[in-house]
Amino acid sequence: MASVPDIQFDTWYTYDQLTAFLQACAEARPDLLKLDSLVASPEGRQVWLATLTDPTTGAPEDKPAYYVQANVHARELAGTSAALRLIHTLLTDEAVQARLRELTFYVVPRTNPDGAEYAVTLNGPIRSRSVIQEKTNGLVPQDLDGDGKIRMMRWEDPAGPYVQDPEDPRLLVSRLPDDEGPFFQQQTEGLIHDYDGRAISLAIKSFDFNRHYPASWSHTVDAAEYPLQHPEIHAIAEFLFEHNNIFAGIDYHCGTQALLRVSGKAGELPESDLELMLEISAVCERLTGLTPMASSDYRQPWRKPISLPGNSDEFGYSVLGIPWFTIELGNSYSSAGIAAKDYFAADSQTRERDFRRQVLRFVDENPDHPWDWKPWTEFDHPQLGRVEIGGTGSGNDIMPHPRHIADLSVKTTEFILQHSDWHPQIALSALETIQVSDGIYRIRGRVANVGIHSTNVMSTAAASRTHEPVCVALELPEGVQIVSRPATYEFDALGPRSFRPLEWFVAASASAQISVRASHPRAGKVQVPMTLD
Amino acid sequence: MNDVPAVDFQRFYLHQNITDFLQQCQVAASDLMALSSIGTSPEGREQWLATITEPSTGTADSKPAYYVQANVHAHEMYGTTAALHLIHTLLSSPEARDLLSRVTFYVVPRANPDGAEYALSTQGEVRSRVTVNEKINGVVPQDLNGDGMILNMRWEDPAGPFAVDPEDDRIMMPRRPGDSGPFYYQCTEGLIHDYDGGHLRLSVDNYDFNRNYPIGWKHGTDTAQYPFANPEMQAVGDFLFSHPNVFAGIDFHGGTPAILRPDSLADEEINESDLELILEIGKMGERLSGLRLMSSRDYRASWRKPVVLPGNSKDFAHFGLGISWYVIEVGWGYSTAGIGPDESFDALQETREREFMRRIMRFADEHADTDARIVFVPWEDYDHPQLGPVQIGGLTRAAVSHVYPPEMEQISDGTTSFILEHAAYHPQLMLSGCEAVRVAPNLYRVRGTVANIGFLATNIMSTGLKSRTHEPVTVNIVHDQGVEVLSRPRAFEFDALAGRGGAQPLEWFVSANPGCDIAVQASHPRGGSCSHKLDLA
Ligand SMILES: [Zn+2]
Ligand SMILES: [Zn+2]
Repeated sequence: MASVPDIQFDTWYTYDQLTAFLQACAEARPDLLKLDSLVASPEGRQVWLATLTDPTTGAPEDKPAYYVQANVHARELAGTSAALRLIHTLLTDEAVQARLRELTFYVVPRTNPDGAEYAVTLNGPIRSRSVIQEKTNGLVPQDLDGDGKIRMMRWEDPAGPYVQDPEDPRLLVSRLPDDEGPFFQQQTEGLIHDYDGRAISLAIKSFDFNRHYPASWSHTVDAAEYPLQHPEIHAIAEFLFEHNNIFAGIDYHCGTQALLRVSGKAGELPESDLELMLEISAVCERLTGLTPMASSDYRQPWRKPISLPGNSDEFGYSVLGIPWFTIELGNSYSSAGIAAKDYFAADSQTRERDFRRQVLRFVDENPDHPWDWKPWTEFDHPQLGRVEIGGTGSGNDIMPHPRHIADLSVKTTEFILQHSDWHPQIALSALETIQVSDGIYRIRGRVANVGIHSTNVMSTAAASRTHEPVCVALELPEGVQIVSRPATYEFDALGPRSFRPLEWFVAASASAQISVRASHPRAGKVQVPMTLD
Repeated sequence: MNDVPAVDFQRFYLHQNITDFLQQCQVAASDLMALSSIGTSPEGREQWLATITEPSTGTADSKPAYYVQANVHAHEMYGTTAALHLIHTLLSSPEARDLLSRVTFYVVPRANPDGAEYALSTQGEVRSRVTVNEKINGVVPQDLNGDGMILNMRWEDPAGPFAVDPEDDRIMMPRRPGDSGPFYYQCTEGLIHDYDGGHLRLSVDNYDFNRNYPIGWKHGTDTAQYPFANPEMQAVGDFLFSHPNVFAGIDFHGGTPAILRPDSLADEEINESDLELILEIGKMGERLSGLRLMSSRDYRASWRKPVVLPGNSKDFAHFGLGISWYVIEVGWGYSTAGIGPDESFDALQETREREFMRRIMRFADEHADTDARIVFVPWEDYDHPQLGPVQIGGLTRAAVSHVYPPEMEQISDGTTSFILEHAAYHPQLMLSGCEAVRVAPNLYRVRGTVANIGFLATNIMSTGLKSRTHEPVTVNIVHDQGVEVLSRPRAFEFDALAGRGGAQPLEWFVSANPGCDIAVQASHPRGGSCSHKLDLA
């Protein structure tokens, strides 16, 4: 029998490696994991979805579900590894596995496989998707020197805006008044469309899939023409709309370490929602050490509160009405020991010089670091003449050391598991029947939510298109009739640890077998059989 | 004279009638008009697109283009009539011919063919599309008594909220103090899902396609889960994004007669020069069509808050595309009966429910000979499987929503005049003062000016500069082999040229042998293209 493979933490996953890992998991534990594709990317890769649950206790969509996605931004490959950690833990740790009796986990470890492949192989400049846009003096990134990577090109120019860092000449930094030359021009490795010697700019239209959700979407911020135009995010949104059993979501990213919640401070969000987000965040902070913040505060102190129209936190919270967090796993700076608060507080010179030196020092001390530095090497550029190609690809800044992800992903996984225990959970109690008259029975009981989250989860869920009431109905054999109203109870929502009374009158003969059935997509299903007597 | 079919003003067009009309147009005027489809509806109907231009002066997409759509809202099918009138005029009027040598018209006479077909054939309640959602005690609209229509059901009940109008017993009025019975409950004709005797509600999701555009879109306001989730609207959006030559447009609707201008922002917040242009063109439209220019913020009773319509076509066109766009509300049942904006916006409930309905019915009675609308269906007894004995019939949706069809002839004359004049405002590039001077052996200096002599700037609105469809004006030199441009830029790109003479100087140095031919060529999707030949002496 195949076994669940170990996660590699010495490198990032290519698409083929990711596919092999997931297929091996599906083969090793077909009883717990089902692998599907949400959609094929424009380049033909699958956006894999792993559905984890114990099907002997119910179908995946009949249980409350936790959703995790990663790698929406192409270069943020560490998110994929962290998402795989969750899958691995659920499949290999028996204590953890018990949750799959009550819960479903949906995991999309690589939302953007095309972008990730470009980042993991060529390491070129990309946010989520880069589309070449032919324009005069537009630089088209490509590998010119045949080393398989897109790095930087530099050439000497007395008017150049860059200079070698006096302390670590491998680094090219912005020139300061006191710097002595030589000075350099610097561009991404590539050829230039229609070059006439004037200023060069990147010839790519850059799309950010995390500005692409239909929530406060802005046409001036997203480069796409309308929300969900990209098939990958369209498929994700359709999946989330169709799966109204999902009660919480995590979006793994890489950047200065933090746990990000939706923008908005006290007074701007409903109090109860903000309180709940802070409570969940506190659990995360305790388990992972990640600092919780509103995404509007994820910035240098002198900047305006940032707004990220169309991002996933906004979509998860405002449109789906669920708690949704972005976990920023770190980057090369956090791996080199620079704390989030120091990074935000630093001025641009400290960031550009001191911090990058610190990163290079860390790389020197950790030869297993996948950071791939190439010494500046001369190259004859067909348009620019003699240049040097070298440095590192544009993706490396955003990548933490994989070993750090090996540690941190254990903690973020523990957070996800603990938070998943908060799911709303429907229960039936105090069920009783009495015969009130000849052939007429009264059935009473309570339907309760014994979970920590409301069935609405967030107040915004009440207006969400995925909103459904809690339903309680009787299942009756032939010949038994409900004579009271309502026949089926619909409760708009059940708060945490709250209940509602139930009452029916039915016409039946003695000893009829009936059952009471209660359900809510985010709180599961229960059915209790009763005998009328 | 060609055989362009006449527009039928006696009745409204079913999808098949539109298809026949357009196909006949295409046969009659195959030199001017091409017929294609921008999309296929979920029920398999084509969203027809008529592309009309004079081909001898350039292809459709090489000219500035005017876009017209109609019937996004299902019951507003008389917009289709106005759009067909425009097509008819473009294909048959000699004056339009000159305009077609400079401008392309894209006309989508029925953007929402499924909704319109449902509205026309069943008279059922629908904004753009209805889908059934299964709710407890939810009425699922359907024809029960086999007359093909989805009307009203009523049954007597002392607690019912409706009473019969004593002056016109066809009218069901919401009851008021002092009314004497009998009283009725009333709901849409149909069966009830999961009926347990409780309170009835409609078991449908009613989609409004004019809230489905991505600009200012709001979940919660739009029934759809995201912008362009309705394939018909995605087809419209994709068409407009892929046709950057579209500089202006009209979206035909029906309601209190008006020309509505872009307005999700208060006037103080709209760019001043944009607002001036919007008002200037709108006033021209008012003069030519007789329809009042209004901001849709004010398209309401005076005691209401300013109207904001997230995700509507005007904001999409103004903020998303940056073009000159108006919604024309051609009218509806009220205006047909002589109830205009002054009277209708501020009318009290009682007036609307009683007096207006009586006037609507009186108008219909007076025009019964020429009115193809069915405004009333006599109440007929019906044994409802869930509700017991009820009556089916009553006033149809056409009574309040549909214009008296013959009225469209005069209305269309006005709207077509406005559109033709608006279209003539297109940006137009021109090259002037082009000359080549020999400055040294085999070296020529080429100079000239590129100008926009059209009324509108190439970016149309200030918002056009940031639009996805924004393109610069480009001017380059087309030359033989052996000619080389030595100066830079080799091709000029100007972000925009203002209207009515906005101009930029041009200069190149070219190395060439005497006798070579070169041409200066300027183009912009919304400004057309032009070129000027020069021989290098
Ligand atoms: Zn990211
Ligand atoms: Zn309308």
